[in-house]
Amino acid sequence: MQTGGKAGENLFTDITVSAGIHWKHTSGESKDRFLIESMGSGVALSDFDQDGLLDIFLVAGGETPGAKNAAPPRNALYRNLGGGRFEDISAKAGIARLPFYGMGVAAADYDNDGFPDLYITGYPSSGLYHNNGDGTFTDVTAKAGVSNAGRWGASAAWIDYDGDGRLDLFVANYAKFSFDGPQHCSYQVEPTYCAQTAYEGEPPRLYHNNGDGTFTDVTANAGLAKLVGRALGVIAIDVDGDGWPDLFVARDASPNLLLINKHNGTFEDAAMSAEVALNMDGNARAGMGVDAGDVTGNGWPALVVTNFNDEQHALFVHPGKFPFEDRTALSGLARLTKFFVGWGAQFLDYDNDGNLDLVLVNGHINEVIERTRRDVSYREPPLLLHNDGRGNFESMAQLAGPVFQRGFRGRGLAVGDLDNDGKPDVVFTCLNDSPVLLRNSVMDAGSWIGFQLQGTRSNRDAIGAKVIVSSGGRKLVRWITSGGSYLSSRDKRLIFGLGRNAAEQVQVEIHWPSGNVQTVLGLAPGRYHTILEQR
Amino acid sequence: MGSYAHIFFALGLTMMGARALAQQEPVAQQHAEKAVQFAQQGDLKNAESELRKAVALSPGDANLLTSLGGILGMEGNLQEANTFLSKAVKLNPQDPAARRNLAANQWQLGRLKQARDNLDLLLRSNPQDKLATFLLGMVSEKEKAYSRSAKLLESVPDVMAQQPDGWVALANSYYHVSETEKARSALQHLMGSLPNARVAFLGGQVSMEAGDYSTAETLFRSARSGYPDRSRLEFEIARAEYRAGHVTESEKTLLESVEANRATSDGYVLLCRMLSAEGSDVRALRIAGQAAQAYPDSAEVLSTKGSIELKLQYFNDAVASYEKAAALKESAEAAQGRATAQWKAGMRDRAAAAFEEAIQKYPRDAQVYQAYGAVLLEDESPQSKQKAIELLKRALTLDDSLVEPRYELANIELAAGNPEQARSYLERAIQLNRNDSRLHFALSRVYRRLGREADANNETDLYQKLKAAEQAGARSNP
Repeated sequence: MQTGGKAGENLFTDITVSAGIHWKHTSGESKDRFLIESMGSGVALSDFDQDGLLDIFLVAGGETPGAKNAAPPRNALYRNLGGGRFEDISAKAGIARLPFYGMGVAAADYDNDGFPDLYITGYPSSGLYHNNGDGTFTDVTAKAGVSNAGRWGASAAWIDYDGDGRLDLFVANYAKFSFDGPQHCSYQVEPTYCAQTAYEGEPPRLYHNNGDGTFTDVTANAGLAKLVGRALGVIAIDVDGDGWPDLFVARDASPNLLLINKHNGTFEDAAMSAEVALNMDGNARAGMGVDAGDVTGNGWPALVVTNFNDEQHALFVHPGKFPFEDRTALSGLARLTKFFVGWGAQFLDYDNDGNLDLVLVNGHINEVIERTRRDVSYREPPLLLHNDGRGNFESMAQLAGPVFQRGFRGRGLAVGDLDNDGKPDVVFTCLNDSPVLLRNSVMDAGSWIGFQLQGTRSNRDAIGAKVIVSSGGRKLVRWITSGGSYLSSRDKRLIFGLGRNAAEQVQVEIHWPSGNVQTVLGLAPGRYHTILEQR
Repeated sequence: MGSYAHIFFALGLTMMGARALAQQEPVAQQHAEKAVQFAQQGDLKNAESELRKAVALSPGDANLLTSLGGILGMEGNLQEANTFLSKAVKLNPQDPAARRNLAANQWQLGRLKQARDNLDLLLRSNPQDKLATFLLGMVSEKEKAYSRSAKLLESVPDVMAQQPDGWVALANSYYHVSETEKARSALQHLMGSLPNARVAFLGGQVSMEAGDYSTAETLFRSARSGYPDRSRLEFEIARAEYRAGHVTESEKTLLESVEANRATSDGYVLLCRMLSAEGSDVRALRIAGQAAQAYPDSAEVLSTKGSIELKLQYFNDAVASYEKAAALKESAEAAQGRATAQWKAGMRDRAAAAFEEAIQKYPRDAQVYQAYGAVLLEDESPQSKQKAIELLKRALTLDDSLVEPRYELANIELAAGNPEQARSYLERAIQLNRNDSRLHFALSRVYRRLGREADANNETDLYQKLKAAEQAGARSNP
């Protein structure tokens, strides 16, 4: 089996320091052991200044009553200067501070003005920051009506659920929480974070984009208000192939949700009949991160969900109709992830062989775990898993680079091409620590072709588009998704690995969210193509 | 005094009062008279001493021998009593009192056939001998001839009026011939006319054994006023409450015992298991810790602590607890608990060796095979899976009532694309335990693959109801 790497090379290189990344997450860790301290924060990769280079936004975290800092926590907006260097411009951009404890981030151009905006989730509210296009952001939360007040927002996803060409907003809410009266749990006499089941869940929120800078809370109308649970991850993707975007929500000790878009402003949860709600024992797992992608080459999106140790990170393969097949064990994921607590996860074709591989980060929440058992650690290594094209995964730890052999308290993760070389890079966040920037250093990666789609009738970011590339007798299917991973937001460009025997010219078929189908022929590999939606 | 010593006391006093004292030897007679006085004052020790002197002076006097045997019997010295009473009967085989006492002594010694033979002799010569009839009823109860016992005891109401233990034996006999209401009436009568903490306790035990937990609960509670072993009593109350389905009351009783520092090791174990079953594992562990301090040499307490630690995933602690339990008392439960904890703690080689050893030691214990099979399934390798299948099937061969192996085998078949085989395992498992939500969930997946959508939805509904009930139970007991 081709292993996607050669002995002696590091597939990924840690460039955090050389890139000039000096920021650290603030968890507010305290003796009170508020659960929010253990959850970490997210990262968004987006070209905020539209200079063609992917920038990095990192969410601050926050303080807790027992842990105040002299210098309050701040977000970081690292502008990509090119050449592997970044500069923090968050203060200049007016986006350094949050009026709430920051958790997740979803980047997208909600007003179709050409500049990606930011929705930052947190507790006890969330915020929408409009990209003014001049290097600054404005807090438009109140005007927009998307504060998600009183709730603990985790991941968020932009989704044009009603097909009107404007991105609406789905917020995955986690649990009822307060800084008053902390829950107290311990192992022997040492304070620990309580299990998530000590906290009641919340329903999600769906905001409809009215097109005038305001949103309307349509949660109840959409049939979502009754879906109480502890939601952490969400991805917007068309799972039933009807051209309308659906939502998969990973929930923590609550059944996952598979919200099927009914085309009339409502959603129906099909997770039970699709068999993606629970594990095989009928138990809800600690679903944190999620991603979707075609891992078997059958043209349908599989789902990966990260879970707690002993629960295994799940892989649900879509056979073309419901139910999904739980291939956690068969794929190798069970064996590879059994002892890890997983968070951010994303599919990526790191070696451009045309098969979607998987990168994910891990890290436990309680240090005492190492006293209760020998096979689970507090700091855990990230995983780079190579896909053989049939949805079977193998660990690339030995070749991936030193980062994959060290332990971290990994949380958010986003994939994006930071240096525009056609090979996806990775950024992940760490609890109360610096993030890690990994440059893809694969030496003999396959050929590739990249796309930046721009909607006209569809939302400008083309979120929800399905793209099919035909090359060398293969058909590769990818989607532009929103949400995904954990608390994070990936590069919206698509990279298709074409392997070693790529044709000189490539055909692409785009199924736009508007319903348009556009075919473009004769595209040269080895570069990005910007494709405008035909009206 | 033995449990039924007071029967002797009543018989003995009667006997001594009615008996002509030794005539032949005046000094012996003086000792005998002193013995009577002592006995009437309840001073059995001195009564015995006087009678020994009397017997030493007049060893062939059957009356003296009978009296001494009676006193010894009242003191619980049944073996020596038997010696003197046997001599008395040999010397005077026609003396019904001597033979009756001998029979009573033999009954208490558990020599039921000998007792019955003597009582049959007595009743052949005098069918109206009520004491003998009563004793034969008691013997029959011990011999598990419950129908006969009930008839005999019912026929001597005068004697029964003074014999609280007789009512207990009668109730036990009624339970065993499925006359539950009569049993309850007998016990109610007992408590109404001869209230007595000791007997209430006995009655409670009899009701427990018969599965009449509510009656047991009432009887045990009524013993609170005078039963000397409060710890034991509180445990029995809690156990009866638990079996009667009064779980909250049972927990309360046991918690009060714990707080008052009088919980028995069994009480701690029951409390911990109840709390853990409700999902209050943290609380259960705290109490298990107290139990381990109070009863450091109890293998059961340590095994229970280990099982809770296992559930909380404190695997290293579970290994330590089970190892201590196994060191104190080897058992299949401790062995498989220890091996499971070792496996979960990451000591897989040690665990595998421990399981293999447990199989050698307890080759017919299905739980060992079941536990070993279950952990091997976590291994994901084809060899482990094959071995797991063999172990799980062996567990079923040893104990066809097990649910867990069927569930695991069903999942294996389903994953292998054999839904029909999976269905067979699961439907049988559900017959054995309808209330396990996992089984219904698994069956819904099987039906879906068989194209039985309506059945799949039914099973999903059942699963959701059961799951909601499980979670509500856990929430109400943090």
